[in-house]
Amino acid sequence: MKENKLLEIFRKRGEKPSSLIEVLQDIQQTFSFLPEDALRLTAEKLKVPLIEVFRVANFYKAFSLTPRGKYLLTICIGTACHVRGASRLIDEASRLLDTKPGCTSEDGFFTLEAVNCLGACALGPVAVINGVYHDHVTPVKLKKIIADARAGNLKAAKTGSTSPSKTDGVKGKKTAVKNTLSQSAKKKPGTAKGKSPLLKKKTVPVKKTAVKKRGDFRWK
Amino acid sequence: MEVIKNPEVLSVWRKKILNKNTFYTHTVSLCGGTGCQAGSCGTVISAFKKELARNKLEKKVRLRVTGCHGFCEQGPLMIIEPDNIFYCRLSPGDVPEILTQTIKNHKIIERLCYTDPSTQKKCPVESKIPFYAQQSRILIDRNKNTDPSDIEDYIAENGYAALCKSLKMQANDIIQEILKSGLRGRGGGGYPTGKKWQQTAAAAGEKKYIICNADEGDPGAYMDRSILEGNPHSVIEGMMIGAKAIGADEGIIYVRNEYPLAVLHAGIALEQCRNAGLLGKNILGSGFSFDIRIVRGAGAFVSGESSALIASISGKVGEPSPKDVHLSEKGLEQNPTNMNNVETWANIPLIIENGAMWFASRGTERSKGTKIFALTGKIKNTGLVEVAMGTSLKKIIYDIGGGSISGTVKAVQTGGPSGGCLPASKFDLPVDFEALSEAGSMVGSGGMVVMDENTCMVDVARYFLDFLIDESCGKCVPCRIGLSRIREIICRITEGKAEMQDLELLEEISQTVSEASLCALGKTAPNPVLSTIRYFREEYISHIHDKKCPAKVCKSLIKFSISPEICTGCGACKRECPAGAISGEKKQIHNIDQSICTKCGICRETCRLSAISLN
Repeated sequence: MKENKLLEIFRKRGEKPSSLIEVLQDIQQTFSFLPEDALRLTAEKLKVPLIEVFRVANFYKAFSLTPRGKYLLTICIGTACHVRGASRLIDEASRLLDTKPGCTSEDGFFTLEAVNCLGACALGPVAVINGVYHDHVTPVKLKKIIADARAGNLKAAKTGSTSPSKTDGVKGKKTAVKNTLSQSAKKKPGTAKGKSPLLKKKTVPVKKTAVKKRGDFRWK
Repeated sequence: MEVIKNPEVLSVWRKKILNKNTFYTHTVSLCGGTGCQAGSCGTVISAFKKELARNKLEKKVRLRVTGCHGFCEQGPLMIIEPDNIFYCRLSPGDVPEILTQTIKNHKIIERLCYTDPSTQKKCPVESKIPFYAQQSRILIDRNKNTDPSDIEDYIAENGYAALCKSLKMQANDIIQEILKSGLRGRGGGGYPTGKKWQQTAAAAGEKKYIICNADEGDPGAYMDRSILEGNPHSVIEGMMIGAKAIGADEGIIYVRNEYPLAVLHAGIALEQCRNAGLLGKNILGSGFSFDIRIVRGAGAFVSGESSALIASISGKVGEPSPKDVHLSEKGLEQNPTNMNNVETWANIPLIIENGAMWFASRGTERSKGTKIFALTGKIKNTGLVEVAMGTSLKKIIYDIGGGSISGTVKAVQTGGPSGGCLPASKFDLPVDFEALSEAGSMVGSGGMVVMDENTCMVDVARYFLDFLIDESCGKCVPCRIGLSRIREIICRITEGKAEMQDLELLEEISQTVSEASLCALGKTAPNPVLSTIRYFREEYISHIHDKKCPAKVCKSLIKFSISPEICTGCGACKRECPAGAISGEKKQIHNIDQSICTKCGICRETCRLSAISLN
């Protein structure tokens, strides 16, 4: 099965040395990493020395030699996100997942990745989890994003995340005013508070465990 | 789709499309660029489609999902033509109202209009919004009229008319036209495009290549992505004209894999061109044959360098090589190769169509035309800004960008990792290739990151060093080892462990790295360090001498503390502190243990009373 898939890739891209990167990209996409036997077969079929295949696989950031986790958490550390505090997100994510950028958490659940620019600079700092974008992320928000993903709900924090971003515009101010009128308690925008009730409900069980275990908090 | 055999058939097709478009009473252009997609524009699009079907308006109202409009800060956004009404920060819930109020009854919904932050007035019309009104939008403005996956939109906008014109021209006349226009490479180098074409056209060789460099690696720059994503046909048409002028029969678009939407749209556009006979053999009956393929990059900043990019296309490690022989003589597979970046290619059809003089009427003596900048960082109006070359930084940052979020702008970083930081005192500078280089920065690919008083300049220098060390291919010693040594010194400074003579050492190593490195990545790598030392020396001195970080960024030099007057002992910070550094009984004043504190700042974010201060 696996070999068939590989042969199909070789056939599509052409069995020549110049197809190496395209072939590796397809393998990465199919298996979510580059398995060793696939690299060996690539070297043989494309007539490229194995060491060269390994060198290319090691050089480019798109390739991973170890399996990726169920969730790929990408944090943008482009200049625009950096000046808005993206480095704090990397620290926080590394701590929460007990891993470092480019690596996968021990339980195989999360792969943390730092990228140099996603081109969504207006929304920075940006974090993406399995393709779902989160804008104006703070360490507090990131904790929720991870907890929600952990609970199997990728988009939970997303529904809440659009509201704080709107608060700097006039439209957002209006909603803020409405909040104070209807709920009588003033909620600070951008924090974990003031989210939709739906979100609150969903995150409660995860949060509880997190609080209990605080101190030696690990996702295990 | 029928195959277009000659320019006349293309004109007939254009007329047909324009005629078809008159059946629509309204055209709604909804931005579907990556920025707006990240802001959930997908839900607005599907809500709009659903509502159109429900109201049976599909034949009267055309929904056009376009590429980036540029004003990413306000996304998701839409423009309703023919009245040029601009609605921003949309959510799916707004859609039914837009249809009943604006489209059926021509009423403007004030709530959805843009508010000018300085006057607090609503601006319902796109062209009157200060952000748009003060730009010279030639390239990026075409995005809003184009569905990137529909060739008909591009044809309707006079697309491929320049190609028809160029097919009747002599190759040399095309090159002369580009030379006369004064167009210079938009990728960073600023080399005259016409001259590059001349060299490749003159080079000996049967086979010649055209390459579009869409490996836009600069963090904080995304104009190339927006063009390729939003208007891929303009790039393809530019490449076709270039191929005709140079005598190439094969073109390659090398695009970053991090831009999946650009890869997708460019692929669709190429397929449509082939189906319409605009690519392939004997294009429009002229005898000229040309085709383009896409090669995806695999994530390496240095691969944007021309010789490294060639290596990457050949399936090798994307390392630069010495440039004893130019690409124009021996490039891809040892054949003459002409490489320009996306924005440069997109300018070509406009120059051919409107003439070199039209293009040269904008800009300065040595830098002609317009340039797109990505205005990001601590600025009110984040987005893509297209202005004539020579526009002052002040106009871009204050008039178009609306100034900083916090009030004061301390510096602007231009040119990405190869550029430098310019202080507010230099904001009168005109933005052109020479003026910025003389000031110690560069135009580069057009990233402009605005920084305010909460940005530490030493930290910015360290950030760029981290980036460059990470992206350095490691082939040459000055870049590989020199940058690491520079970073060590900068880290010492941010930790408050440096001496004054470290500054001199920094400057000395920087000079060696910039003189001895092989490629432009290394040669320009010390720029962020040198420019920050040049303009923000006092910040370096306060780190070294006073052991203080004026912007309160460098972790080793800051301290979080709880103000006893404000703290009510609610326990929120204690609950959230990941390090367990906060102690205190309920309703008692809390305290931070500095020896455990990791300075993540979560407590400060959590405290609703702002009782936690940063010193």
